[in-house]
Amino acid sequence: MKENIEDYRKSGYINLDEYLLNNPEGFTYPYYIDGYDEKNFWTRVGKEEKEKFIYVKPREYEYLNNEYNVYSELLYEELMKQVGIKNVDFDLAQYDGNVATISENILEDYNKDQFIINASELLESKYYNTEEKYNIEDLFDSIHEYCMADYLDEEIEEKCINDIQKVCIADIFALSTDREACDFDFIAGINTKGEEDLELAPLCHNTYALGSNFSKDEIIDMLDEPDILADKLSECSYSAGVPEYKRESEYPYWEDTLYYLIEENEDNYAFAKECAENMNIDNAILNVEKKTNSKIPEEYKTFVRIAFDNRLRSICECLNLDYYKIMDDKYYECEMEEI
Amino acid sequence: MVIDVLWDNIKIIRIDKVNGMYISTAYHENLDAVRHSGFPLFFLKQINLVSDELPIIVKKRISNIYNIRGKLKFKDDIEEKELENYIAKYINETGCQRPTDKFKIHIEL
Repeated sequence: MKENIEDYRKSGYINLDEYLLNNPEGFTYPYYIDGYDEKNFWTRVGKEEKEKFIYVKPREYEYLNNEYNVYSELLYEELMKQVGIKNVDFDLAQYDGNVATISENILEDYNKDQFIINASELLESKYYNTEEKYNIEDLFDSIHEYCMADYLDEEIEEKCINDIQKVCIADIFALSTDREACDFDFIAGINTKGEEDLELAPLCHNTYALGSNFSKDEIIDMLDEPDILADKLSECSYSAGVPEYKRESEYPYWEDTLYYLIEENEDNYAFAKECAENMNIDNAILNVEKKTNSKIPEEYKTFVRIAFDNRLRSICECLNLDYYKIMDDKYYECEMEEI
Repeated sequence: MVIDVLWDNIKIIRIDKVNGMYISTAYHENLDAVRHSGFPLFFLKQINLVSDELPIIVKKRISNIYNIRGKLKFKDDIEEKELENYIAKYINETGCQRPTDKFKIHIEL
């Protein structure tokens, strides 16, 4: 798919509309992912023996908070790669007159007996007919029920839960505000070894990370006044947050979630430390520009650098880490690479 | 109205609509076969024997049809019966299947 579609790239964006005109049989009708998120869908490309699917996320301009939204999705992906979290390989596209992000089928490397379950299907099966907003503990309970009902090993359950906890920690570093419990997907079914399995699928719902929850005007204002930026970032909530009885306030702030995850869990603390040391926003920006062969707007780059640094500083305070030492090590590495 | 839920083209659940209630039955003789092709038994837990709502597996997949229905251009004076037939035909042709899905829905009006 990549080779053919790459010819349709113009100023960073792959033009899917033009691709469709020249390949009328290229797409079959779109498959919507689920009722929650009508804007995202899988679509089928080609009619060969082995069909390929791509995940298309059209972004209507009204729906976007700002024009940087698509870049934040790609930057997020790069940051996750740096700490070993699997993410869908996104690319920029234009579809139906709107900007979009696309990815190839994430199941391609898996066995044909494996399929994707959205977390909402697990959650709604356990909490049927309730309209409460789910938190991560509800999700862990649903996974436990799933594993019990299907006689899956405790190790599988533990690995799933650990992976979700790691994603939540990395999310906090990447300033994600809209990670809901339903934003996780799982790959279930019989794996290549012929055993029943359940694992966390590469992430694909990364909207509203790296400041894309703010409007363009807000971002420009914040660049002029760093105090406002610091205040607004510290107020950011985290949707998939901790259960109410663990919170200090009404809203699930990111600090509450971080404390909840690292409290009494040394592995999570070690992972948070790894994130602080290994996540490098400058490298992420370089890689995105290289991948899309385009330039990210300067004001957004500046904002992302400042915001990421600000969040890192706050997290270091929470984790009792030496922020200046971490930054020194990072720049030392960068300088060595340049030499 | 009868709705069948299939996994890998094997019937697993039958749902009958009687007086506005949905009555679900499992094709127990097929459960062993679907289990071997990776059907998660967990999904059976969510299905109520009698309910005024469709099981979540069916509801979520059929709701996709209504998303598409909004995009289809129907005449204003189309009869409800005709629309129902059209949607049923659509459900049976596509199976309401997602690309990574092994579930299929079949409907008989």
